[in-house]
Amino acid sequence: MLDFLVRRVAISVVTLLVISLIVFTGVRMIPGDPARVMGGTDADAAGLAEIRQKYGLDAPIPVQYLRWLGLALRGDLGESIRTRESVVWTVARKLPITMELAGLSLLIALTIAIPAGVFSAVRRNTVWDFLVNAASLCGLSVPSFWLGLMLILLLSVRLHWLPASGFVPPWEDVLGNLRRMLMPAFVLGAGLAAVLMRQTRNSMIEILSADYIRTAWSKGLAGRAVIFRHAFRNGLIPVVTILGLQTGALMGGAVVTEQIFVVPGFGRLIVESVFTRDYPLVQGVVLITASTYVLVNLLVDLSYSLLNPRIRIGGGTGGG
Amino acid sequence: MAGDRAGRLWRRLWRRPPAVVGAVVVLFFLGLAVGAPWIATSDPQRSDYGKIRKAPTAANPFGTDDLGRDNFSRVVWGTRISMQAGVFSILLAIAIGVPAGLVAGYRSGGLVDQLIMRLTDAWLAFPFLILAIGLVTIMGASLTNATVAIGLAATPTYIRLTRGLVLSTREEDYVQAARALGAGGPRTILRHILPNIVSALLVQATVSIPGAIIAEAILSFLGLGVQPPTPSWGTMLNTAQQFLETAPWMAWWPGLAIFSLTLSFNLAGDGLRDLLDPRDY
Amino acid sequence: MRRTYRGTWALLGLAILALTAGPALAQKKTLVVALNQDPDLLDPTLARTYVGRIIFAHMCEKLFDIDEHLRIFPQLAASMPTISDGGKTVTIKLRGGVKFNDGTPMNAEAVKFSLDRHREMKGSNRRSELEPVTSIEVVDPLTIRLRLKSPFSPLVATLADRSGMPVSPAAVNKLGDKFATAPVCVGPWSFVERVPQDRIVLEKSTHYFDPGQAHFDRLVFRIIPDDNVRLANLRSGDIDVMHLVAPTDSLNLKKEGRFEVASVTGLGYTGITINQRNKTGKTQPPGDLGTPLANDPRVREAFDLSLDREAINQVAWDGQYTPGCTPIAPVSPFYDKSRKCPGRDVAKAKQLLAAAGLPNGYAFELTIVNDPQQRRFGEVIQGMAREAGFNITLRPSEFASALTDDDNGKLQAFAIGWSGRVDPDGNIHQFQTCGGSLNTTLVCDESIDALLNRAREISDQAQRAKLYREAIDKITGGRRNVLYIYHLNYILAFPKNLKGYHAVPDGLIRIKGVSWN
Repeated sequence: MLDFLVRRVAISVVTLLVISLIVFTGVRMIPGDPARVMGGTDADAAGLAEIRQKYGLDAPIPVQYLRWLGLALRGDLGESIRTRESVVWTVARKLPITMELAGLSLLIALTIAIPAGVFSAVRRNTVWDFLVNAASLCGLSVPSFWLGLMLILLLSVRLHWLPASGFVPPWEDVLGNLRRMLMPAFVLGAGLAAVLMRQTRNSMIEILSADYIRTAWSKGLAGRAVIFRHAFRNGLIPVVTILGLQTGALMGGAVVTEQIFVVPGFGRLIVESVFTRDYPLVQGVVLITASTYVLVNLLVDLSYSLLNPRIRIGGGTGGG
Repeated sequence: MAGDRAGRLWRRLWRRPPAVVGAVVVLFFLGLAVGAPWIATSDPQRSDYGKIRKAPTAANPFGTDDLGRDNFSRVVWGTRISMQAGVFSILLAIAIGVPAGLVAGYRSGGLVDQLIMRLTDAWLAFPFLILAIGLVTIMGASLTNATVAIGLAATPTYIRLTRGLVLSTREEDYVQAARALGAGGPRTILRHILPNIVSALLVQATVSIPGAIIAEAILSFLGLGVQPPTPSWGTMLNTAQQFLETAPWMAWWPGLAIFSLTLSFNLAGDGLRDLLDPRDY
Repeated sequence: MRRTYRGTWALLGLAILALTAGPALAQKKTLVVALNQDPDLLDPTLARTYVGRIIFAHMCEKLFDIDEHLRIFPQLAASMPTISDGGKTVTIKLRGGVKFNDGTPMNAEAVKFSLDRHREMKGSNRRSELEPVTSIEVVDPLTIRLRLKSPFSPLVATLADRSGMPVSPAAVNKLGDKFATAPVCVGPWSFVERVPQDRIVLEKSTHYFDPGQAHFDRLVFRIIPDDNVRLANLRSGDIDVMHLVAPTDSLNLKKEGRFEVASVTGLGYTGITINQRNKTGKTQPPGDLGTPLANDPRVREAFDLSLDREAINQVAWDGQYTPGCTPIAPVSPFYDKSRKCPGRDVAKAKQLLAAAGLPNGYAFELTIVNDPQQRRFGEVIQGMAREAGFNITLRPSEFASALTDDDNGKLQAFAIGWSGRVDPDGNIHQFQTCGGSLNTTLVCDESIDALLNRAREISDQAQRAKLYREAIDKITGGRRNVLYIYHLNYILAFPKNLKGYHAVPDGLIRIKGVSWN
């Protein structure tokens, strides 16, 4: 068990290092001269040289990388060019917003997907199964930005039920916050629900036809008890895996959703910083996104052992 | 023997109407893409300033857009863009991902495998869309670059898939047996993997392609993909945004097109997956 | 099991009901204004964006301001300045009893401190605006005197913008170049907080000398770049004032009748800047770009003739903007009413291209700012020019990087505008003179320079107008480094019961004096 843990963590560390390398080189490859962006249109050669010196842009690339990494590990990701605000502070302010959006989407997705998935697995090959499958397919295929626009048109402009956009912090106004988050969370959650629905259904079907379930049934345990005590726990494993993998999709999906619903979160920050060539911000933000993903998946992997002791022994294909 | 098997697969396919519908619609869109010059009723780039944002009529079955261009022709031509972006990007992902996965799987546990897997893990840690946006920003906005960016973003999935297949094939009894007999080198594994890979890739592709199509639409929506005046469903939706109330038809048709193409790929993919599922033997 | 299932659904249903049935807040004491862009630094010395000036209009007043008729009047100054010594000395009396929003007094020392900061601080973007000023003296606690190296008639107009904004020396000394994080100037409202890309919050100042003008306790400026979303917010009541209504939406809004739609032709212009000699950067020596577009005036003339300015306005802007062919704003007293814009002449355009050795057409790249309005503008131009044989590739680019590329000589043609200044000099000089700080095309014609330099020295309006007419004739009929296409109309929408709003051609929203009915 410890062996597995250590191995898993070591792998994550290496992955994080590779991520930092990719982020650093990636940002360096964006066309444009960072010194010029920082200097503005009135900067002359002397001014540019000053900026390069101040931000260490004149050092060789590997040195710049190590310097950046060193500072990053100490929690200093530099300053945004546009607002001169510390990157860490900007992120600390925006991340919770996207986390709330992601969390609500997850809640909505799980609330829809798990019951629907279990239901269609139990009522397999009936009309209900077909309908759930159809809904899930639609959820997978609908472009989220189109769905978002249609929802705004219907629920905000025509019916005035929900505010079109914006964000109010929950500690200021809980109800206002939730009202504004409902549509974007639904848009994000719909896609996620579609994926989870099918996964739940498939893994439930597999479990239900597994030997140890049949044994339990034959022993006379009531049907529902069997499902929820034995099948559920094991059926959750692939679902949890998918959740971990979907964190990335959630963050990405948040990009467009946050644009449309004007949620000042992480996704919007990424797009804006890339568009405005705010290099320190892009670096910091992308690094944090990717690292979060790695950490979430690490937690997912470690939680496997809680759900199914057989996996604790480690090994197996994929991932490691 | 093979003919018999093909016959069985074919019959099973017909028993699943949704999959058939999906496949037919995909072929229909393919036909639209190829036959665009003959199917479109007018030049998708020709503006008629007298007919700006007009509702659908017989002459313009899908209405006109904000520069007086025929929406129907634009949607038809847009099929080319979406199909191109969707298919070629995934082909690129396969072209890079499969060889990498084969190498990683065959040399499993070694340094090369570790290198490839860590790179893949890191690559996967970036959200798909953000990766695509970043790549397009570096390369410049165009359809080609968007296609390449999407393909690169989709590559790690194929690396992992292939590697997993190599590993599981190696565990198979007949491969173990072959090894015991002295064979079992790379060529053997390849020969056993190939049929599995093709079906697994096909199934994965039917999942990836709709994602790629939507990704291209999003990139074009953000202004990072197809450049004007080439019609793309994503750019059409972007423009349609401003006119949702006055000219909603501008949004219906491209949105519907994306939706139906994506849906049909998913349906066909589902059918394909069930078809190739070994459990049904 | 069944019971809890139903219970969960019921709970969910109730929750959804509660959320959607929530009351719409009536925000009477707080006014919410939606802007389309996030301002850059809120420091008058460093700021470069137009939207930043909107924020400043409420929390950083200036020595002078303009009214709807483009007349300059004193704001923090007590009266119009006295000009003496052949135009080389400008004496300004300051209004008494004025305090900065931190309570410190605004006196001559503070104003001198501020103006010197605009002139000298490292990285100041006001330096070129105040370049003719050689020194500033404090005459008495409420009078300052500026000494210029040569007469400069646009000076007062310049002081009616960021260069004329006093900042609190106490705040500057405390914050240094981080002044933008908590700016303190003179204004009916003062800075409270800023959430980048989300909002800027101002609250009624307790130090302002005329508090009756501020009828709102709080002003919240929300940043909503997407036109659609901004409009949806206006309609649903989440915002009160919508900045920059898209021209294609304004007709609808007017028809709807729920909102007041105020439109005013702005001070600026939008056109196509054609790079002629900028090869390696605007501060580097000019070079030969080697392209027909850059080197042959016939190609540029052909391009000019392929465009129909009226039609562009109709198709791209639903006729809501103002077509034009001059950098001077229609509302300016210097505007040449007799000027006729070139009409479309495709035949002549084709002839010119053939004469220039390009009978089969010519391809070049036009860079546009990546927003829906500019994309449509670009596409219309693309379509029109195609008929004359031009094969234009559109290259959408983000605003700041496009400006940088323009500076560096990387662009062939750039569809870009200028928000405009009160004095026509502000719309022409920096762009069209040899070595002008915003002359990215690196064209240089001594005769045009002579006209423009003379125009900024004399003060007689009629004479100045004549000089500008000559210069513009040479530019638009000759070297065509900028094809002027239209003047943007600033369209603002707000509820009908918001009274007292006056639309000023500088396009800045001014809430001072505005109140609910």
